Amino acid sequence: MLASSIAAAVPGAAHEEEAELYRRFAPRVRLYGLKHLRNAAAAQDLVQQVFVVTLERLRRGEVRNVEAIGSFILGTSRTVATDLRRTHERRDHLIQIFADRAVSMAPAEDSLDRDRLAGCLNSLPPRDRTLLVLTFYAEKKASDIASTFEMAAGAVRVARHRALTRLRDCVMGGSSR
Amino acid sequence: MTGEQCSRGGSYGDLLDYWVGDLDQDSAERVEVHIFECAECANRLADVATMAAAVAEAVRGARVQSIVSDAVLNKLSRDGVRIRTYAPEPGTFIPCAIWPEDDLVVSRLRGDFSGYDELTLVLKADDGPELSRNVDIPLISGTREILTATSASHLRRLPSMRVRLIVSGRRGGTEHVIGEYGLEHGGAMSR
Repeated sequence: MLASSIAAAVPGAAHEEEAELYRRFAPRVRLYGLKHLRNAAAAQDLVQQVFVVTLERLRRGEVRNVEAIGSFILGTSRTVATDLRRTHERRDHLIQIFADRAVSMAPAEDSLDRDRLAGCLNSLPPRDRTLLVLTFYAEKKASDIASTFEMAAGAVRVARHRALTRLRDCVMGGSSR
Repeated sequence: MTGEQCSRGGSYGDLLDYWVGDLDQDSAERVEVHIFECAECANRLADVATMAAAVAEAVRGARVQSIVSDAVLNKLSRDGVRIRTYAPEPGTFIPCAIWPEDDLVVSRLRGDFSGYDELTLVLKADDGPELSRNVDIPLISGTREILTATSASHLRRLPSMRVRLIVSGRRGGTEHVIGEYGLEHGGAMSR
């Protein structure tokens, strides 16, 4: 186990294990941040802070159950995200007050071929297209879409999942990534 | 749900519902725990997030042809997308053109579309072939119009021509034309 190797090593000596732990879990922490903080820069801040805490606690032997390191990282993500949300809300508020137009560079997103994506989206059946536009651009929940189209919310969720699967299959050329 | 699952029994449908905020708090927290235990679902969720962001970017970039709602148009306007709207009455032709600043062109097609099983929207040259056919287009409840959004860059490539937008629907097993709307497309303009 990676986490137990890090905990058992001389603090800071298990470089490879620490790098592997980061490689496995940083994308999940980033997704957690994108979901809850809704900002790529804030999500990257979350990744950094969570791994500082995780590695320090592991090196000091302060993680009680190293076998469940995913659970520890999730718990840390929840705690740190709460603090970061306040920080970013304060920052956004100050930016609004002072009209700070400074641009911060966020790490590049895992992006797709834009032309291919647009082509695939435009080739979907009209109902699928509209569902995906309402879900991912207008950020409408299934219940909102259900009332918009006089459908059951459960039917919207199933249709939305199928639409996304069709789009994904088209973009990935019918293969799974 | 769809029945698709990871090797540990996690539902792929739940990952999408989680990402778009359609799960209650307890269910969302259960999904989060699973994601931190299951690399397969973590990868799948990353796919969902990437596709979601890419779809939003394509819409914001006015690269998607779709039936839309006023809520979508309002958000596009707030995002700085420049929208030109045409509202031809049934049975008439109105002039239209694409200007350099246009990003998106919206046609508002008014009529009573209720009570039909399947609505179809056909775009055809006035005296020529079909240019596109969209079968089973969604109808927004409580409205008497269909909003079709088309990328201005796509329309700029069309020559000057008269086009008809024909909305038909199935009722009692037969296809009925509900409305025909004419546009005198003047091509791409410059100022």
